[in-house]
Amino acid sequence: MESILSLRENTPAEQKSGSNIKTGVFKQLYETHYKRVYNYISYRINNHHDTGDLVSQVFERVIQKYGAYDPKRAAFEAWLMGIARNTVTDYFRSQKRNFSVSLDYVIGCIAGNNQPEEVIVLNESNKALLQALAKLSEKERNIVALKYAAELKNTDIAKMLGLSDSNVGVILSRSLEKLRKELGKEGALQ
Amino acid sequence: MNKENHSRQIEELLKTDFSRESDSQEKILNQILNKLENSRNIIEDKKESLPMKKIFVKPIFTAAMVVVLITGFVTTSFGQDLWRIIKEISVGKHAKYTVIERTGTPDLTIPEELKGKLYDKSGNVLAYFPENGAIYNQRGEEVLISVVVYENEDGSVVTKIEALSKEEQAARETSQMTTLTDPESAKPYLAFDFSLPAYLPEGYAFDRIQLFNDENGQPVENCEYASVYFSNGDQAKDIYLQLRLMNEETAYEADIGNVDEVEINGHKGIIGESNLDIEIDGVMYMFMAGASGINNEQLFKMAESIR
Repeated sequence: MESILSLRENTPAEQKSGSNIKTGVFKQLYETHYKRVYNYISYRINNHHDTGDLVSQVFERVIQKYGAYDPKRAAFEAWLMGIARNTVTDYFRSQKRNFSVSLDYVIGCIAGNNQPEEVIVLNESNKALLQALAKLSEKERNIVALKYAAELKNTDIAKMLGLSDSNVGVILSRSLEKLRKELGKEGALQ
Repeated sequence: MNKENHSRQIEELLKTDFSRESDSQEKILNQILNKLENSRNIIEDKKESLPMKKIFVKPIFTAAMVVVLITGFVTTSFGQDLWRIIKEISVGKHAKYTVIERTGTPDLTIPEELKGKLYDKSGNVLAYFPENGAIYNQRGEEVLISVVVYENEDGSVVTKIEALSKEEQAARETSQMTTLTDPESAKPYLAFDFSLPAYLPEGYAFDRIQLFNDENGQPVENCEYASVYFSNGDQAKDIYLQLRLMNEETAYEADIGNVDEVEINGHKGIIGESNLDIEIDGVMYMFMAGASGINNEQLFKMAESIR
């Protein structure tokens, strides 16, 4: 028999509705969405070493909250990316609590200047992309990550962030222009 | 420089799949499945006890209540000889109310983090919490003491105690919360649905609903909490209603003075001194009359009119 996944005891409502996620369904969701969650987090945070941990946290939260997902309210992708976004926010908060690291140090880490044995080897253009992303504001970086890494539609991003569709479009084009300038400086564009 | 060409290159670059550079997909999945297996075992072990991860204490409005709450914490740790638990009421699976009786002289010493920062009305530094009467800061502004106790992931209990003036409290709320004037517009951000009372005391109307912000200043998605205010035009007399989706994460144990069990339209709850909490469809509706002068009978009517 297929087991039911749960990280906590079921609430009576959940027991009644049987809304927990089955292992098979979870594995399928994981296979389908792993890439976009991984990429979204890679785009948002400056430390590749933590990406795997955060991906794991996102999917654990999916299991915890699956019973509360209402397809009438949001597309699954948008709901999932809402969880990913909150996980990244919590990560930033805990980083702030523990210590603060200068952006240069972080970029140095990404570029492999510090502790190279702990840094996943990135090719040159990916490195340049991450360095350029780090120059965007958090808001811009989040929107770029939701659009390109998480592959959400502008409408979904707008709904998630409480912005208008056109506002999302404007921020995206402004961000791309910034990236173009940064990548140009780095000599990453031909 | 070819701008169009560059834009195309950036779009291509933004399709980079970082997940291919790491071989962790399988590893992470196995970790999650293992963790679930372990947590199932832990849950089996703990089934006897009520799951209470975070202990929550409501904001405090009167100095008298401050004393009760602070000494209440002492009770839970090392002051058992000063207090006796006379009643415990559970509402649903995740909320517990404790009523205590004083059996000795409580330790009213001001905790280290607030030492030298609290004053009486005449501007004298307080060494002890007053049993009655207001507490002031250095500027002579009346302060509210807020105490939040929560459990860390490692199981250690942390108590955070602060003294904030009404202005500071309001400023913090404004900076950390989004205020909306239409309850419906709050619903997309919440992990639960809710209804507001059809009955309101005379002169009162729905005023605003507040949601917690994330670090970008936007309301948190799928949030489990919301604060609703009903006003008669004088904000000091607002009736406060906290909405809280009840689960293991939002569970709390509260000491808010004497409370009695209550049942309204088949829903279980508690009624206390200007407080009425009732759980409806997994959501705790926590009414606080504060300084409004609204009595329990009217709070009861408000709760009764939630459909």
